[in-house]
Amino acid sequence: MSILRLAWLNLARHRAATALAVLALGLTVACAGMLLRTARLAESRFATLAHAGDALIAAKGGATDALLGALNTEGPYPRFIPLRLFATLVNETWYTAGSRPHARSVVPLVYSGKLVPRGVTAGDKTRRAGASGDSYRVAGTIAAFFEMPPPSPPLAFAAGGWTEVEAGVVIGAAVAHREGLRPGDTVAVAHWTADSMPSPAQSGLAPRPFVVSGILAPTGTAWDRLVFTNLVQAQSLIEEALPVAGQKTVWDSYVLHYVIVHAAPDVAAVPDVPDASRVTGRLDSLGVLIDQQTVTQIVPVAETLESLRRLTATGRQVAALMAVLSAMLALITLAALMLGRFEGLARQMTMLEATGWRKAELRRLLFWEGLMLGGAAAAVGGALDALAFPLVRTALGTALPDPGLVSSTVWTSAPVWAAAVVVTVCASQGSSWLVFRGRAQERLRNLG
Amino acid sequence: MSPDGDGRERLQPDLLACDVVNIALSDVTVRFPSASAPLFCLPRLEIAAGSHVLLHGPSGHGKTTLLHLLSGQFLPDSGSIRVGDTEVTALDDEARARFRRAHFGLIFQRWNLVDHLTVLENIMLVVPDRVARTREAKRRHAEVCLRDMGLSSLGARRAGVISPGEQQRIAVAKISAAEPAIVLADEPTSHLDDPGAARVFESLLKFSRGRTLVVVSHDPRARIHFHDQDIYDFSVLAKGDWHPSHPASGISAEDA
Repeated sequence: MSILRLAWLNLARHRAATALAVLALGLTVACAGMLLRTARLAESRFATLAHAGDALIAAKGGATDALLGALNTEGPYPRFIPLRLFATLVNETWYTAGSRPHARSVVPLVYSGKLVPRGVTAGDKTRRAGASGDSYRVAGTIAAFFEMPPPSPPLAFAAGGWTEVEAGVVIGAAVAHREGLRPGDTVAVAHWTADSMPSPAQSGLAPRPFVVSGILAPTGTAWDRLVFTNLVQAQSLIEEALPVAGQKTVWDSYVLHYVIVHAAPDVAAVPDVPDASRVTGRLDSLGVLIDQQTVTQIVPVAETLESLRRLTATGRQVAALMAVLSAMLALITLAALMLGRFEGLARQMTMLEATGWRKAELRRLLFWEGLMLGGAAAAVGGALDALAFPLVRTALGTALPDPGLVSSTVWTSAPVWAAAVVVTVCASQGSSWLVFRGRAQERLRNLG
Repeated sequence: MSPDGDGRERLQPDLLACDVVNIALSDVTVRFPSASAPLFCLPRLEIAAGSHVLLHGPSGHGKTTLLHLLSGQFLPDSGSIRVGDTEVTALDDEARARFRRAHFGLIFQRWNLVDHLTVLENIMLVVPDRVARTREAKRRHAEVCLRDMGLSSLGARRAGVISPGEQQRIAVAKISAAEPAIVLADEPTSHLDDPGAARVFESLLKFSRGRTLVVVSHDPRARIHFHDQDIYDFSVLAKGDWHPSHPASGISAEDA
């Protein structure tokens, strides 16, 4: 009988004990794996967050939600702000003669639709166009979006360019790659003005065709996942969708979600201080105006990002702590398991040793047992992880990036599985040390 | 059982090439770490090939320890142990394990079998590659050994659920499957009733015909299975002042 087969029989013939051990270890592996995936997802938020502007203007509410909604294209459908405010800022920025404007650049952003993936029809209920996670957001903006001044990094076109002509769209790099789009292709855009938007099949509001006018070069940010159209088209989509979604605004379809603001340096006020302080000075005065005199709020990008980092860092620390606790729990479980097995193993090992099995062979026997236990635990843990993580992610809600924007595969937990196998094998070798530590005479007494 | 490797292949022919595969101990001293006095000293002891020897005596004098020494489970504090042409005390741990597996069959008081394996699997566990190489060949060999002992009906049963008497007889069948040159049995009948003990000894002596057999036991029932001249009092042996009456038949001991 081979060592491998004996190891297998040692586990298979103690079915209940082995099953319980594998389940206990598997649960620990699943917990540690899900914690790891959660931590990675929390981290990914910063990896894809776009850098744009010094401040955002958004509907009054949570600053973090506004930041993530605008620069990471995630979260629930945002509340509207009036387009008129943007017009006012444009006037102040571009046409104010003699006085100092607050901003050097203002760029509007309004979500109005979702790209219908290729191969999906309006009546397809399995991949409902417009539902979260099934397609990419379509944002209305202006040409200035692609020419934002520093600190926003420059955007370049990989092919084609921006167009103000009707029914044209610029596609983010990831969308183009995933959908295999090129300039000149026609895409369908479903209306989207609410999270509870009925599907095109239910509303009778057919997706509208758009022609791809340009493809953005990859930025490694949320812009790669976005589809851009001009403001006229966006407002047209919103105008059609509002009655269908049962929505009403005091501004009709003349609405936006965000205005990305690049503040003007406060040169006159404090000429000798560094740029950042001068910008902050202008933002402060703009903030007073916006907050006090409009229905919107100003969200300083750098400050809010820092707050978000602090918050998620706490979350990551908690996740890391939980992961360590899970790992310790796993080790204790494993130690208890292997020590429990030791009583049964010691006699068998001593008997085999007495009949001529070499220590190396006995260690190999334990190695295979450990490997099989660890492997089974990793498989069970992986399966539980795959089944339970979507539920965990749903329960955590907006604490994690939208599943449609940042995916997390079960393979992210692979390091945990590997660690489980390694730890189990090490623990099995630890028990071999326990078996062989005494003198042979003492061990042989076990055999009567 | 897994292959032994080159070591066993080298050791076994040496042993079999001997005209007389005898066991010889000289000036052997064994002591337990915590004890100041030695457990026993054996100035000289020889067991001739093919002899069947019963060592009896009260508990605690080192009978079992002697068996462990003979099979190279551990080394004495001093002295020499030779089996055939091999100086066992000169072998390292690994080599002694190979040597033990190649030439010795051991039967303990209890726990000769792995409880969760079937009887057949327990026997297959010790079938060496020199006897049968493939799994199927090992199975057939194990079945033959069981049949020879009249235990075929137990082959598929788990070892842990059969009676102690049957377990000891299966231990004998297990030894026979390994085909060792030397059989060492440590109190093989101490937990058995009279009929059970008788059956175990019958099996043991039947299988050991032509092989060296050393049984240690303080069970008085063992005596009826051995000739008087093959029964020795270990406590006398261990004092080192014992003189053999029948050295040619099996065992000899004399002062150095």
